[in-house]
Amino acid sequence: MTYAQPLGGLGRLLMVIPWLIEEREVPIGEMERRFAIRPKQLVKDMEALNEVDFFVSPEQRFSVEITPEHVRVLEAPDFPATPGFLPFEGLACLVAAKTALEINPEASDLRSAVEKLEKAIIPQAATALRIPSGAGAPWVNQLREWAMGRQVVRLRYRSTDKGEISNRDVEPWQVYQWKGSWYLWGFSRTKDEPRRYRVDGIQRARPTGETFLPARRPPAPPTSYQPAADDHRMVLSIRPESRWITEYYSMEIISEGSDGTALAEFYTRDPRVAAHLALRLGSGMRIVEGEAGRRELRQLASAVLDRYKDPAE
Amino acid sequence: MRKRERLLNLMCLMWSSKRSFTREEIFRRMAPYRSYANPETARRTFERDKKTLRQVGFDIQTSPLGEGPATYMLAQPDDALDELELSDAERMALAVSVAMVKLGGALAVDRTLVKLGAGPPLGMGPMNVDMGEMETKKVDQLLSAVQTRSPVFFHYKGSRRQAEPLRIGTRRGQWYVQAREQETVKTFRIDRLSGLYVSPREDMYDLTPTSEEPSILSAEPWEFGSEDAVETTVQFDAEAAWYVRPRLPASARIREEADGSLTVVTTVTNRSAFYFWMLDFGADGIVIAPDSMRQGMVEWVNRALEVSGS
Repeated sequence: MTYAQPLGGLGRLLMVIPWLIEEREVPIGEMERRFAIRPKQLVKDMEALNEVDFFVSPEQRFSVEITPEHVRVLEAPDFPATPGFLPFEGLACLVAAKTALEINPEASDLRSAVEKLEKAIIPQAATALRIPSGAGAPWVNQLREWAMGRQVVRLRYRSTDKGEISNRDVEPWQVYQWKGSWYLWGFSRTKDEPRRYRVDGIQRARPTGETFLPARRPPAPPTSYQPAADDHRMVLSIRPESRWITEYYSMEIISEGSDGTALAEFYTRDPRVAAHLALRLGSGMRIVEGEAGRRELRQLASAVLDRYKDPAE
Repeated sequence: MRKRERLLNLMCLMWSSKRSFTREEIFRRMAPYRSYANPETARRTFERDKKTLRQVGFDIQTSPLGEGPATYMLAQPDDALDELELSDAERMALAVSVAMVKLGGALAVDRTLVKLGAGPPLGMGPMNVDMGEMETKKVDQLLSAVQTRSPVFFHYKGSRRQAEPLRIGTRRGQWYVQAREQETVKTFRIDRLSGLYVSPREDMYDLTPTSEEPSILSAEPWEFGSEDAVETTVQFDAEAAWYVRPRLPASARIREEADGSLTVVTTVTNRSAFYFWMLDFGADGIVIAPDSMRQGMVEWVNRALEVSGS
């Protein structure tokens, strides 16, 4: 996959021109490495630049000499330097860099770039910024490589809400992070539909040896739950102290009581998801409608309470 | 080529003169705008060109309204960070991160790469990272307040607040500011601040003695509550150990037993948050001690059954 050049041809030139003016003469190979532009395209851009009519200041034309080996600046106009990062851009760039460090903690160039970036954002970065850098995220890099190689993978996976462990054959499309957790998004051959998997729920993963033909345009990874026609519908009453849960689970608030208690509609393929949530929230949430959810809640609660029974009983 | 040529000339005109221009003056000096038969088309083209230059990161300063015809000046943004002085390898490493870790909406990857002056290697497969709704203006204001040690005023949860910002951070897709309010360090979600105003007075407080109090930025929810602290011991089954271990707090004391099970000691100051976390593992874990926490867990589960009428 080739990443689109930033802002098309203009972006390419705005990256290249200030640097070229400063360096005066550079090997084509170095430009290719630095800007990730193919030599053919670079030559084309430089030729186009030679043809630009700088009519607003004819005395300042841009003229470069192009050979198969190098580009040399002969004349250059007074050209603005590329603008620096705004603070928020620096911060966002820092998040990207620290996320990349999570995947590859050994990347020393990236680590030193992060230090420079932090200091540029704020001199007191050590105390004034807290952008977490994980100690390494197992599987993320490997899954990304398998996705790029179109390799079918077999996952030994524990489902987040149900706690069941099973094998899944998956055509991996993309690895992504959402609300601080890593997910694999792909087509489950086992379930015959697109599914997302929390990466920290993967116990083992290996390629099956098969490859797959990717869909021309795989759907974007979901950040909210899309109900199916045969989903279980539940109505949940959520007390004010537990309302934060509505930011993490897809549910629609139907009404609100004067004390801040919300009545929410919740759709799920598996009633254990609602039961698990009700168990975790204690008296903070009530399953108002959805007998299947209540049944699962009884089973889950019973399994937990069994562990606290006195062996003598 | 026409658009590129027009934009490069516009940049050179506005940059080399280092002064403001009215639109009419720019049109007089630049034939491409004059070539449009319809003046409205020329105006719209000029607006698009300004937008493109802003997208690249230039500041197009405009004169205040009502003071004669509008004037435009191309400038480098005032608040841009200092030169990062990156080596080529560091620049490339950052470019790879920005291209590979595609930040959901909050950062224009194109512009960042242009600003870095380095393209990503060909063949990169981007990943998506949703860093939440980063409210860039507020983040910039708060960063500047931390830097100049200027108090801030804002509305939060229905009341007007005054605080001294100390630290900005992100966790699980949310952005937070930690600020001292009446001698207490509190953590505020940036998306919930409104009417943010930074005092023009600088050096108004001390930043250095900021200790790392447990907060959402550094600890788990059950570690920064207001209840009496209880050191709690829990045990997780061997079969679940692989799953549990990455979910344990950094502050926990962990012992792997001979049978592969994990014994974990953690300090609880928010029981509700602790039971919520513990029950994520269902029956794979059990509270060992103290008795009050064991009993509390049993009551928590029973209350869940009662309220749902199960």
